[in-house]
Amino acid sequence: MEEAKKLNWTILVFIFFFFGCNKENISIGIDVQDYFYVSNKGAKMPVLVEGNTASGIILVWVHGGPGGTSIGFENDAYISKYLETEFAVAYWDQRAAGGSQGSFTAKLQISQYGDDLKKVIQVLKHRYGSDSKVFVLSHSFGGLVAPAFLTEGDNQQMVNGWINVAGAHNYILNDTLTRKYLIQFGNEQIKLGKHVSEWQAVVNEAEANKPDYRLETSTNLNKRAREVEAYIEDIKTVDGLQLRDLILGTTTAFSFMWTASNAGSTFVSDFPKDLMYAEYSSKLRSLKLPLLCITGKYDFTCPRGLADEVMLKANSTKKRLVILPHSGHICMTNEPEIFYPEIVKFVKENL
Amino acid sequence: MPKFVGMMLRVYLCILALILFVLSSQNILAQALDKPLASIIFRNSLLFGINTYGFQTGLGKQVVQLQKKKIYRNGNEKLITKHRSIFFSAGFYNQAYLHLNIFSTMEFSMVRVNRKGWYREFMPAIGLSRTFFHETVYKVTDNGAVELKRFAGDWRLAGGFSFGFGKNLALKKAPDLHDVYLKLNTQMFYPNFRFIAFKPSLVFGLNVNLSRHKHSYRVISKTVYQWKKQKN
Repeated sequence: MEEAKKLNWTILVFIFFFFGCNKENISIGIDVQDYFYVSNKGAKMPVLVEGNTASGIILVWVHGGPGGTSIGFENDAYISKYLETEFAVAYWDQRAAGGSQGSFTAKLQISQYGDDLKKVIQVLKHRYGSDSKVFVLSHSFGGLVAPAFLTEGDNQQMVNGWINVAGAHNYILNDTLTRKYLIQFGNEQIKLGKHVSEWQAVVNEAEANKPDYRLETSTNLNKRAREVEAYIEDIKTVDGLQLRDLILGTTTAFSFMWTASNAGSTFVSDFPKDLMYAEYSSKLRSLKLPLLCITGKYDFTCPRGLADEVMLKANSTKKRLVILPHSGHICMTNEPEIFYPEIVKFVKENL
Repeated sequence: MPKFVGMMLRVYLCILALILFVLSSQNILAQALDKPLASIIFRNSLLFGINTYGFQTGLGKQVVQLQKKKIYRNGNEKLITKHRSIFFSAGFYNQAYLHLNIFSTMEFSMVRVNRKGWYREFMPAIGLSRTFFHETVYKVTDNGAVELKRFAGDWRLAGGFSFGFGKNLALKKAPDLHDVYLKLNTQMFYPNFRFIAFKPSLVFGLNVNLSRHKHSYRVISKTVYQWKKQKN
């Protein structure tokens, strides 16, 4: 009996130590793939670093959503071709998104996302050298996370530039512009006789949904903004990642079910409602770092007017606006042959 | 390749450790009670999902058996047997890049068996789980120092339900084999950012009788007269 008890304890201690081991693997090379987690305020967020870490340049990808994923983009052939050969790309899945995992954390707040990004950059510099040159690339909702980080204290000193792709830095302005563009462009299309019944329905709904800080109004406008891209023949599409790739997990380090669960946790929280009041327009003047704004001509989800405001208000001496002529909201998948070379050019100009 | 070999070794050692743990626990219990454990079922199953594999083992006891005899108007009879069992299990699943999750659950098995031994099962479960990360986990202190976080992971309530099909073996040559089954299992873990995380998997299992003593569960028999014709 005593011997059996001893055996049980030995087995339990063995299991505890066996799975508790955790060591640091840091790769410096031209074609690396490192995966690690950053823990902050109850969230364990995955970071996948791919590409050329030997370059000393890291591009941190801040995804959209809320509740999207960066790691889902990892095997995009265009990113591998254009970005990962030149420098390292750090795909970070935000809290309550992608492959991140957490306990019963505090309420989701945009300032917390900004702090998480700061911690991710600190860890990247710890791993790949404190002299690493870091650029932040944010897309859509990431355009709120990036200024939440950049406009706080002296955080701008930590990075060499900000690439703001179809960013949503001000929610109520975003909804106002979406409505305006839908009505304006919709009426033009009706006059031209293109998809008349569809555009008429869009215009009617846009007119009925005047932005009022309510999630329902914002969701209605957003839904229409995504829908109308199907009516515009001028938007280019290229072969990219398909939904089946994400579901079947053919992309390394991506869990479809966990991502779906995380998206659910964002959806049921108060965060989407709180976001209606989120804005960084009033803090944009504090930006002094090099800035590249990229937006699609036919982006109704985060329309061009948002990029215009960032360009106008940021006090950066080096700033450039690029409008992709055949793109919608996910412009990196519409015109990757223009999108990625622009990023490489910007990074090289600001080393 | 070395990473893959290392992972397989981990899985193998974990399975071995869990089996030893369960069997030695059972042995301790048997000695403490000073009597053989009658009608104890030893359950083993393999879990498969997308990029996921795992193992679960446990001990269970059938608590009641319901026997229902249906007599149709044309004189045909149909015997339906329902088993109700309670299992205590421990196991794990491993998903590369996500985590290794060790869980222990209590399950209530509801089985309906037909005359040929084929059965279908519904089994809700509740328990606890703890995740472990394969990769390095960092934390940054308030003064900006980056540290490694040892034993990073989360404790969660582990629940779920599974639907399965199986076959009672009852082989004369191998009377210890109880049944084999295939199930669709959905595990749920709470909390994950104030919400539930879902983890579906396919489960292939084998139940073994630990002893051949006479079963000690309660048997409830019932005869039902069906006034409609039996479907062919």
